[in-house]
Amino acid sequence: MKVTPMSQSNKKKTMSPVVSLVLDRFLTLLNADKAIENSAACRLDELLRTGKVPNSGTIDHAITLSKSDKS
Amino acid sequence: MIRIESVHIEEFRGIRNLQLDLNCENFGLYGPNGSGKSSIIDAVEFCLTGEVTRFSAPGQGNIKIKDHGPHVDSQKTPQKAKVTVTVYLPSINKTATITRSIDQPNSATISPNDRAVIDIVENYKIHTDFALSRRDLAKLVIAQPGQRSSDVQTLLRLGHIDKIRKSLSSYARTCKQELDEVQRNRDRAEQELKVTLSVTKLDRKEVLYLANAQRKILGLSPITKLEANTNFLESPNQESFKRNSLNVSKDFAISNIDSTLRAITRIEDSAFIDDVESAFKHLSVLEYEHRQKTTANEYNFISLGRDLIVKDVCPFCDNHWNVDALRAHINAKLDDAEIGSDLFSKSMESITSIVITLKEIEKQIRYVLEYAVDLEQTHSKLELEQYVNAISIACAEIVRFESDNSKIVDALSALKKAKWRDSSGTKARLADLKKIVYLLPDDSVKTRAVGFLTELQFHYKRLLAEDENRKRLLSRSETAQSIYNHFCEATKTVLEQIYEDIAKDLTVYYKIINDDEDRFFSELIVDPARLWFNVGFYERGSFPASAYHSEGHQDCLGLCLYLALMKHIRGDDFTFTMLDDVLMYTDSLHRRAVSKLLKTKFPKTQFIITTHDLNWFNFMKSDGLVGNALSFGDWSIADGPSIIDDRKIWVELENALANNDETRASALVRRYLQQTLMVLAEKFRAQIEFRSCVDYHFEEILEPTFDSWRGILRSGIAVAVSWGHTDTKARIEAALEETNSLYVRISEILKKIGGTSYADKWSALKGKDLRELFTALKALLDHIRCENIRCGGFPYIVPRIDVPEQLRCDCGSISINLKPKSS
Repeated sequence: MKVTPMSQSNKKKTMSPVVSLVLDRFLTLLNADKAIENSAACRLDELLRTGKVPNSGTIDHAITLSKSDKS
Repeated sequence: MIRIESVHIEEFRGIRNLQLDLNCENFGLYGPNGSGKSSIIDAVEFCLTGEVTRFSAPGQGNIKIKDHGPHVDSQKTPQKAKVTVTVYLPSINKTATITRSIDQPNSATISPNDRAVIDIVENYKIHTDFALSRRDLAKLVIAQPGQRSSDVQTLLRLGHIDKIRKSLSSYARTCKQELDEVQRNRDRAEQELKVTLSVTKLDRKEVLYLANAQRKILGLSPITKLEANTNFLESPNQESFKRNSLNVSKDFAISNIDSTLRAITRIEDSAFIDDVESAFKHLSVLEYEHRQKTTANEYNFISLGRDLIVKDVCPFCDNHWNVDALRAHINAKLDDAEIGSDLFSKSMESITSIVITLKEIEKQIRYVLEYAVDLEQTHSKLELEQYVNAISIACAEIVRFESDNSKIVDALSALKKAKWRDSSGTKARLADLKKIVYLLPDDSVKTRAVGFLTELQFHYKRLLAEDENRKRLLSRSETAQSIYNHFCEATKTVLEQIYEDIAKDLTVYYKIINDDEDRFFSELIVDPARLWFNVGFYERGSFPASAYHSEGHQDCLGLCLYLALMKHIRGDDFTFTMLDDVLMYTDSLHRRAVSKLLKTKFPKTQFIITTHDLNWFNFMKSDGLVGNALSFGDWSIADGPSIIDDRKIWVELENALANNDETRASALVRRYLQQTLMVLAEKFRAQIEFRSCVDYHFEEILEPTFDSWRGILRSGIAVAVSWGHTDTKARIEAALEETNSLYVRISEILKKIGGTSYADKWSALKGKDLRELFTALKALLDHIRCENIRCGGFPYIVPRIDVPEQLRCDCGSISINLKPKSS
C-alpha cells in the first residue's frame, strides 16, 4: 500500500497552531516597532513561516535588504 | 482521532496470543507485577507508531524494538511478532484496521486504503503522547524548569519556536560582537586623531583652529565649517604641496608603524588564540564526526527525503536499500544536521572575531606598505606583501565557509596553518622601516604643516568612516536585539495565555481528586527557555510542585497536568489515551476520586488503564469508569499472562476440567474467588480487620463478606415485615436460605484444604471436590448477581457510607429496601 507522506498530503500540518500564534504576535510587535521597517518585518515573517530555522546570514539578509536597496 | 475497538497481539513482548475486545469503551487491566500489563500498552503504541517509548527512555541502553520487541522465544522470527488494532475514527465515522509486525516496524498495513484514514493513523506517529507511564508523569512534576519546558514544548510541538529563538539570539550576539569590535576601532581612530592634534578632547572649534593655523603657514584661506567632506589641504588654486620622500610626516609614519606592530601583537593574545582553537575544534568535529555535508541548510531537504521513502528504493538515486536501513541512515543524517547546526553557530562566533582581527592587521599593513614603496625598501615591501597576502587569503578561506559549507576543509586548513602566526619577519621589517623613517631629515615648517594636515586628513576621514560604520552596526545590533526581544515577548505572551488556561484546568481537576484542598491553585510560569510548575500549599504560598506535596499527590498533579495539556492540545480530538500504572503512590481514596475525574471531565475520551492495585481496579469497575476489564493472573514464559475474565471464567474452568488440567482449574478458582470476594466485600460493606497493605487473602474476607450478605438479607426481611410486604419477605427469606445452603457446601470443601489461599494447598484439590466447589461457587455468585443479562452486576448497599437504605444493582432489577418504617 502506498502511503503519501505528511509533507505532501498536508503541508500546513507541519507548523503547529501554537507556533503560528507566536509568529502572528511576533509580526504585530515588529510592525508596531517604528525602528524596524515594515518590509523587513514582512520578509522575516515570511522566512520564519517556511518552517525552516534560518541561520544568522539569512536573518541578516532579510533584515538589511531594504536598507542596502535604498543605498 | 481514534477509539480502539479491539487489539490482537501475537508473539509480542510477554504476550503469545491475545485478543482484547474494548468496543471503544474505557478498558481496565489489572495484574500483579510482571503479569504482562505493560506489554499491552507497548503493543498498542507499537502498532500505532512503530516504536515503543519505554525502549528509548534514559537508562534503557541498547534495547531495540527489532531485537527485544518479539517474545523472547520468537527473537529469531520477528515476522511472527505482530499487533493488529481495529480502530473507530469518529471524525469520519469509519472503522480501520492497522497491522504492524516487528520485522517491518516502519510500515503498517492500514485498511481501508483511504487517504482520510491514513492521515489520521499516520498522525499518531507524530503525536506519540497518548501513552503515559508513571515515569513520564513524574518527569512533568519533578523536572528542572529547563527540562520541563523542553518536555512540555515537545508535547505542545513547540520545538520549532525554541530553535527560532536560539537562531535569533545567535544573530543578535553576532551583531553585538561585530559592533563591539567596530566600537574599539572607532575609539582607536578617535585616540589617534587626538594624538595628531595633541588634544585630550575633540572639539570642532579646536580642530578648525589647529588646522587653520597650519593652513595659514601654507598661505591657505581658513576653513570656516567642519564637514564630512572637509579637505584640510585643499588649495583654491590647486597648488600641490610636496613633502619629503615619505609623503607623510616622520611622526605620523612612526605612529602608524607602531600601530601596525600593536595590531600584529594581538594575534598573540590569549583571546585570539582561544578563538582560533575553538573554531578549529568545532569545525573539526563538524568535518570528521558529523560529515559537513549534513548541515542545517540540508536538514529540510533530507527530512523531505525521509518522508518520501515508501518502498525499498531511495527516492533520489533509485538505488535499492532496505527501507529500514535507509530510514535509519537518513535519521542519523538528520541527527547530524541538528548537531551540525549547533556546531556551525559556535564556529561562526569564533570565526567572526578572528576575521575582524585579521582584517584590521591587513588594513594597517597596507598603509605601511606605502612607506616601503616611497622609501624604495624593496625587500621590506616584498616581505610585508607576502605576509599581508597570506592573511588576506586565510581570511577569504575562512569567510567562504560561512556561505559555502563545502569549503570547510579550506577553512580548517587555513586555521591549522595559521599563517598569521609567522609574523617575526614582518615585525623585523616594520622595525627596519621605523629606523629608516627615524633617520630621515627633520621637516621644515612648511613641510611640517603639510605633514600635520595630511595626518589630520587621514585620521579625520578614518574617524568619520569608523563612526559611520559604528552607527550602521549599532542600528543593526539594536534591531537584532529588538527582534529577539519581540520574539521572546511574543512567545511569552502566547505561552502564558496557554499555560494559564492549562493551569486553570489543572486546578479544577486536582480539586476533584482532593476535596480537602479547596484553596488549591496551580501556576505554570514561563520564560523563553524555562517553565516553572508551582502549586499552592494550604494557603502558605506558591511552591514547586514537588516541594511539599507527597509522592501520591505529585502523581495526581502530574496526571492532572497531562490531562490539562492533552485537553488543550487535542481538544475534541482527545479521544484515546493509555495510562500505564500511573498512580503508583496514590492511596485508594484518591484513586477513586481519579475515577470520578476521568468519568466526569473526559466522557469522550477512551482510557486504557492498567494497575497492579486490585482495589482500584474493582473501584473502576464498580464506579462504572471502565466498561470492559480484564485481570491477569500469573505469567509464564510458555503461555504469557493467564487471564481471569469474569464472563469467561466458567467456560475456562469447564475446559480445564474437561482436559483433566486440575492444577489450572484450581488456580483459576482460587484467583477468581480472591478477586470476587474483594469486590463483594466492598459492595456489602463487610467488616474486615484492617490491614494497611490492603492485600487480603480470601480466607480473611470470605466469612465477613457472606456474614454481611446474610445480614443485609436479614435486614431486608425485617424491613419488609415493618412495611407489611409479605411477598418481599418470602422472596428474601428464600434467598437467605439458598445462600446458607450454598455457603455451607463451599465451607465444607474449603475446610479440606485448611481454608487457606496458598497455591500448594489448593493444588491438592482434585476431581469431585474441585467440581463441587466450582458448581457451588458459580451457583452462589449467580444467585447474588442481577439476573438481567444486560446488567449481570453484583448488588451494592446505598449509600456507601452512613445508614444503609437500600440494596440495589446498576439496572435496578435488584432492589431491597433496608429502611424500616418509622414507628
